[in-house]
Amino acid sequence: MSTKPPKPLTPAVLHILLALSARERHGYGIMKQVEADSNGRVNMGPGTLYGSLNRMMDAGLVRETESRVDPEMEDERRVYYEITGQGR
Amino acid sequence: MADDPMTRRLGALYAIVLRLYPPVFRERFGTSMRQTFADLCRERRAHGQGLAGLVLCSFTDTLFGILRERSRTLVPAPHELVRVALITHVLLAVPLFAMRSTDEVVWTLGDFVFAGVVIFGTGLGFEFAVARARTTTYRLATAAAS
Repeated sequence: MSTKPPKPLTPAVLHILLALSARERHGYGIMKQVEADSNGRVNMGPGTLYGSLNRMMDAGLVRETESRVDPEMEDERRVYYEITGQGR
Repeated sequence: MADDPMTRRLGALYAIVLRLYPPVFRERFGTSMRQTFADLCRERRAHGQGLAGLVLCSFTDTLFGILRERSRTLVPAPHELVRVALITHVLLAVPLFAMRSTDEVVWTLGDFVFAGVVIFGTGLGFEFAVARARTTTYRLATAAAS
């Protein structure tokens, strides 16, 4: 039985996977990591980030972890995202 | 940390824009998106920067995201199209066979095309409504109405 080849990753998806490869992060944390990884060349907006996360979660590449307060920001609880085995 | 009035106003405006997302997407990411936008505003403020550029980029990016998500939920899935096309063919076969067996049924090519368009369109509308209905009651009501 032949298997369908995986779809090529979009630049946004690749950047998000790289940002989550080291540890889980919340949305703003992913944005900052993408910006740092690309030396400031990639500034992802919220629409692109969460639209990509939505498709990545549907594809099983990332998943939500528990929501908690970021110790560095100390305000609201935030949803964290982590890469799955398939995403790796 | 208390936000300045401008950041709060922009956050409220951004929350209104987020209402344009499909409900499922909004429930999944709405709160996180508001937090992220507020984080970006705070970051600019902390660096003494204005918010105009951020607002322009974030709102534009979010509006494109809304269009993407809306188009995802409006385009029927391939299996839905195939199912509706099959049903349309089966229903159109009824007058075709009737024409062969009796002289009382006389359909022109135009009649078949018109009936095909009506049946296919109704089927697509039904698939769209049922696939996106959340409750069994609503699904039954949609089926009864069509």
